[in-house]
Amino acid sequence: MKDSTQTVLDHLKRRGVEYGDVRRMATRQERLSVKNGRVQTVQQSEDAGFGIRVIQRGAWGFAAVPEEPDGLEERLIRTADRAVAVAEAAARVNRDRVRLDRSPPETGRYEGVCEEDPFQVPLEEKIDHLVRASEGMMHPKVAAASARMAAFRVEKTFASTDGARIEQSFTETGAGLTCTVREGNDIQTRSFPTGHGGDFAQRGYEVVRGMGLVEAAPGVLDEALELLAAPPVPAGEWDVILESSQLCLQVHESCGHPIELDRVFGDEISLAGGSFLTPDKRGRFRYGSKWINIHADGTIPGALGSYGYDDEGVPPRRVPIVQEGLFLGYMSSRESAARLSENSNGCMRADSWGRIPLIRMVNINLEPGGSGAPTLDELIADTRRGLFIETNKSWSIDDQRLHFQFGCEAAREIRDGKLAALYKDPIYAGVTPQFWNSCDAVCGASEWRMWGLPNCGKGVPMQTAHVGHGAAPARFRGVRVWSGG
Amino acid sequence: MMAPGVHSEKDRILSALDAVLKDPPTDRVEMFVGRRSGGYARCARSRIHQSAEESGVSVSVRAALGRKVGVAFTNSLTTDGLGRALNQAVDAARVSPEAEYLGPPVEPWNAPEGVVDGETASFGAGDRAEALSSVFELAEAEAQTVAGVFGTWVEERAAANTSGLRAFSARTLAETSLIAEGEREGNYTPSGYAHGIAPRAVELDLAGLAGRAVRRCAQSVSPRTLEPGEYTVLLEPPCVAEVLEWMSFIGLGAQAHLDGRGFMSGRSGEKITGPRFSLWDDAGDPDGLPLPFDAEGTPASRFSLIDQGVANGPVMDSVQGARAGSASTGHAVSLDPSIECLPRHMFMPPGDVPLDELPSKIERGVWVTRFHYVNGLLHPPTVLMTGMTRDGTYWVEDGEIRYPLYNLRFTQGMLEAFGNIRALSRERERIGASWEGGTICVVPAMLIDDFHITGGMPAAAGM
Repeated sequence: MKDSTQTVLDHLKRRGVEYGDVRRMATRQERLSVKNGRVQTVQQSEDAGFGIRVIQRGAWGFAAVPEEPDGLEERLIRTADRAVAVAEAAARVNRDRVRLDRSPPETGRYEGVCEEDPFQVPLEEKIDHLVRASEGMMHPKVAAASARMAAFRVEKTFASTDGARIEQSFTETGAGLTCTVREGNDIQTRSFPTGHGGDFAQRGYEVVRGMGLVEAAPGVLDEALELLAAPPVPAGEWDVILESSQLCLQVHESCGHPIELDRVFGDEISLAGGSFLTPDKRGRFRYGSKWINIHADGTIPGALGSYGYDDEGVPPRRVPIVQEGLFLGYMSSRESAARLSENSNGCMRADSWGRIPLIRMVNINLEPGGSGAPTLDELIADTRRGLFIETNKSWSIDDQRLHFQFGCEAAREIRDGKLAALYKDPIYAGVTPQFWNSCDAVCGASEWRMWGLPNCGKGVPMQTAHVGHGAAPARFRGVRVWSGG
Repeated sequence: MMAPGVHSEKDRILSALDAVLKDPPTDRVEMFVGRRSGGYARCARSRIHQSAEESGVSVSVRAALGRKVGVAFTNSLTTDGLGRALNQAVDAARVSPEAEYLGPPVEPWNAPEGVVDGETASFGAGDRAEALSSVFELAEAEAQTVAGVFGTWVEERAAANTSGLRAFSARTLAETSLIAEGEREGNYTPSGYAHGIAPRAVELDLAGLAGRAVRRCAQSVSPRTLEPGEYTVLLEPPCVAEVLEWMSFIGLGAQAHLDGRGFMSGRSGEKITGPRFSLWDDAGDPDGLPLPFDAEGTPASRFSLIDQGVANGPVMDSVQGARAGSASTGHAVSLDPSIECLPRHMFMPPGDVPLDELPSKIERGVWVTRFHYVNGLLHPPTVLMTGMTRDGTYWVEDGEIRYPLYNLRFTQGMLEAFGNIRALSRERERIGASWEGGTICVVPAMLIDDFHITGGMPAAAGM
């Protein structure tokens, strides 16, 4: 494969491109799904190909081809020529030229953490695990008791005309439970350990073994049934404590996306929109209260948003985004960073060989409170009247990432420092900086945990990224809450 | 039918399927091939920043050993690649418990092969760039810039099985989305939007679409805020299509319906919304960029989902058909039985009011060009959705646009909203995206009373 890649790079140099890279990506997936104790799917998937990206006459061009052994080198050369032709066509229209940063070309290999290869665990064992978990949620009022797991193996090679030569290999694994119950015209759902397919990590099958799906299932059912009997959350302004996974989605939507520098410069207007965090706000804008510290960090072993090098060959690093409430930084690419006269912090990724790399979230983490920060129990005890809101159900935010609205699975009233009545269908809404400035406490490191989201969408054509977020529960004052039921 | 001179992989695809199905390791194998080739150019600030050409294939294989079922996917059309995928599917079936439901395989039939437009198929990066260049010039004349995408594609599909089915079809697609932008005003940028998708590039009136986006952008300068409340709204077809797509996810497919999770569950034959709302799916309708068969090879046909406010029922694939004791309606999205079957060619009937006369029926209300980031998972039984408006939201009084509005948030039960339809436009638009999984809707604009506006983008981010 190395010979083919080098042949393409040599060809691109002969064509006189200003820059070129070749990225091979091979993915293996396994998806297992069980509903109501019955297997829904046992699915295996394999996919491999090459993406070739060039800058010619100051414009980008990209072309891609699937990997098939017969005549591979010849097809790669043709694909490289198509990429050059695409760039030349764009160059005839564009008035300004692409300029890259000065990131040095890297040579190296990255191997992710994986103690137990999920693809080597017998299928029968994995299916049995999910069947038992699903059966643990069965009840006459259950509409769907679902247990799912998925595993991904990704192999990447990257080489550029700058001299970069990189190989990467990592495994991602995750699982989750969803119990949907129905009574009359009411439907309630409870998920474990979080919604939308569960939790994922860049690790092996040890992730699933450690989840305790079978043990958790009866409790998930009980909570779903409890929600059917619960009243709607009373509308009003509440002091709200968000549990860790919902807070991570809050970080994802209201901080992660608006700090993507391609969005900031308008490159994603055609689908997802722009960002209110414009460069003039950097270092001056009060994004949140003094308790808010957020980092972008693609170097955390085992986290879903980690890797050795991005799809431009740049290693990620730990980047301060918000420090004591002050907005400081972005996630960048080689092109976008150059516009700020900086070097990329390594956030460009494509979800397959056939797609153009975009700026994607690494692990965007709300740091835990410092020494003396409360535990969750202490934070609840410190709250006279409020709501403890758990597990995302719906999400929406405007095209500048300012006005958001989240629906969650459950809310528990806090009365005089103690958890009290359960409410269903909580919805809360706000405006990003006002919301983060209303935070007056973030729990300490003992409550902090990483979550992995395997379904972050961006781009046209749509690409799905696997990203990570860490957070400890935090309290926000005076949040507008009402019921969606 | 493939136009002369257009490269087709039909023979290669069908030969590959024949080779694998000639001597299968089990009695029942189903295969589906989707191949796509073409390219797109994305632009921002009137500059092409992403431009690509690609060709790729996706092959799915479903193998059954008795009632044990396994599924595998590959992107290889080689004999080795397909054979490997088939073996993976068989291996998966071997260790699977018996499936509760398994419908019959599709019997052979003569599928129409579709229409491929030679001009669209031969569109190159230069053609796409040139087309966008003319759009940039139109915007520049009004001191605006353009963000968007323009793509042209050839799609080929084949379904085959061990019962002898060999179905192949092809189509061409051209699509564009254009957002004209003015000068940023704090956290707000005035913008206008236009969208088009067609089987032939020549049918996309880029100049007309760009003109519409530019005019709307010019009308969006210096917006005002609007207090939350109930308002009459004029929803243009892109709004309607986005709501319908979410409705399909949460209750128009048989899995959700039969599970009891859907908004029509247990309500077939009941009035669930107003009499002005009818909805059907028809993947064979020429207006909807037709696909003559689904992933299982079942022929496309018209299926009524909601008729004058009365729930009919959900669409089915063979697995859900077996579960319901009926036949597939031809709506399998995948051979993976865990993937929900969906209506992907949805139609609403036209109304009787010319589109340009709809605003005249508004005394005081809001005109919405399109929605943004809609989510329909809030409370599926009532089809409660939230989302923002975008790229042109206007305050209308006495039938005239008075001023633009900052983008608004709605939180609205859509069955309730469709019960409050006052008028539908006589004209319908084809809305959708051809990207994988895209849904096509042919829908009118709607005038709806008492629509819940629950918030909006702030005039300033503050702090």
